[in-house]
Amino acid sequence: MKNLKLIFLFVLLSSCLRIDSNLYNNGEKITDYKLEAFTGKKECADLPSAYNITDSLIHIFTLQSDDAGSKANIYAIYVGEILRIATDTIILYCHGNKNHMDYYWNREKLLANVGGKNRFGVLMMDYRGFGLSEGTPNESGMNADVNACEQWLKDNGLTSDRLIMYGYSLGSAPATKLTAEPTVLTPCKLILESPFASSDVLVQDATKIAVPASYLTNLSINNAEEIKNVHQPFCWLHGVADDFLAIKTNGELVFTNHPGPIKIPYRIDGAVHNNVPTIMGYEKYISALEKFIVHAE
Amino acid sequence: MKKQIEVATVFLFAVLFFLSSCSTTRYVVPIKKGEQRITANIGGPLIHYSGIIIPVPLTALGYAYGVNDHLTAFGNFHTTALAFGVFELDAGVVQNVIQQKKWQPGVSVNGVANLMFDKWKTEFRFYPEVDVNAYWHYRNKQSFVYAGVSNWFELQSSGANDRVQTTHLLPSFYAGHTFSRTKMDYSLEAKWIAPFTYNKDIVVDYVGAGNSGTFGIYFSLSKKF
Repeated sequence: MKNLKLIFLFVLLSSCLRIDSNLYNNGEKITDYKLEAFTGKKECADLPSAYNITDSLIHIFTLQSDDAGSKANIYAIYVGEILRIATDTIILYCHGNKNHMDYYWNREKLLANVGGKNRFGVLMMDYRGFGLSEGTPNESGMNADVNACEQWLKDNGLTSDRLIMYGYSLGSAPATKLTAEPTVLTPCKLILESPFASSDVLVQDATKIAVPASYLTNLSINNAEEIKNVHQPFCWLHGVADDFLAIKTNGELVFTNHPGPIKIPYRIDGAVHNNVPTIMGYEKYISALEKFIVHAE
Repeated sequence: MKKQIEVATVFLFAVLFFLSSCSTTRYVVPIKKGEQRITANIGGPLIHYSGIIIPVPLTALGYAYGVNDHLTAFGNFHTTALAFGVFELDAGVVQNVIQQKKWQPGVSVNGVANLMFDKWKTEFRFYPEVDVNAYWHYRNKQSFVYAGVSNWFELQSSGANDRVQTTHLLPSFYAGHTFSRTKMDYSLEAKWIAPFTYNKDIVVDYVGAGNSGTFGIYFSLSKKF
């Protein structure tokens, strides 16, 4: 019996299965970034060619991201004139848990058309372990990667008052975290699209019972709490028919918890998790973002 | 597949193992007084996996003892949960309440305590459970078919981010067959878990009836002593 207890104790203490790494759906392999020429599945696949970007304004480069000593070279794409970062307003886009920047290229093009073609600069990165970026995805690494992008923007002359943070789905985690607890730059506005509330909500929505997230994951993501410390203007977009992160238990909670005073919701009828701009209509989408970026004060 | 953003399968496996149905219904018919059983369970809710539908391979080990001919005490230890650092145990009894008479099925009731805590934050949860079973022995009076309804009770009043916990009843319907031999029992069971719960706006791609709940398939081996 004593041996049995010891065996049990050993198994319990040594057991280490966690779902953390499985939150990152970075399995699709690429050998280079093809952007327009990418033939795989793309977000906003029906985006008209009128939104295309002049090649000279597309900059693909690498950055070194340092997550408390865990360094990784990550890839990023900046759309705009680098020399104008010192004077332009810049959107820093944090993508979702799936795929890589080729998949999200149309989104970056859309954002580069907000307020007119190339009115705002747009920076997007592949987190460590995504696309061609080195390393393995993890929560703190993702924050470090976004910080590395902020540092690159800062090195090129960006100041906090011209940084717009945009997080989609999983990207809502670093976007909210680094707006609530800024380290390099303090974003002046926050846009979240289809955010999740917290790892606890994720688990409890799936199980329907109030089991703690710690049963499954060490992730400490809690946008619903972090947003309470975001006092910058906030824009929230969410598909009413979101089939992955229910609007009621995720986005609505995050929106409610934002302390205001400026917060603008867009609840998109008929949209699911990954088609908010498409269902909303591309022109309406970029118009809404322009209105928020330019006029929400 | 409905999920445009796919969460890797292990995530689904992990999330699912708490959904009130980690094993076959423990004991439908009380065993004889003084008899002992050791049981191994495998199976779980159905999910989409690489384009096909499979049951989640959840595992549990159990022990049962016949207190008398109408009452059996049992316990199960959930080995898949343990691999995640969660100690999950259930313990309970099955009481026969109506004896089978020819074509009239017998009826039994299970009372079960489901206990869990994790090594990460030592969070504890307790879920009482009640099952009502109807069974019918046929042919050699050892093997039997059964059907029943089970319910987990959620006692927490609040959940994540202080939201109100609105779901307090998690019922399941099930039907199965136990093939009984001299030294071993083999059981195969199908369940419809949480049949009144909407299942389409969450990260897990359950295989349910329309937009409700999920189906599960379970198999168990039971060694008699």
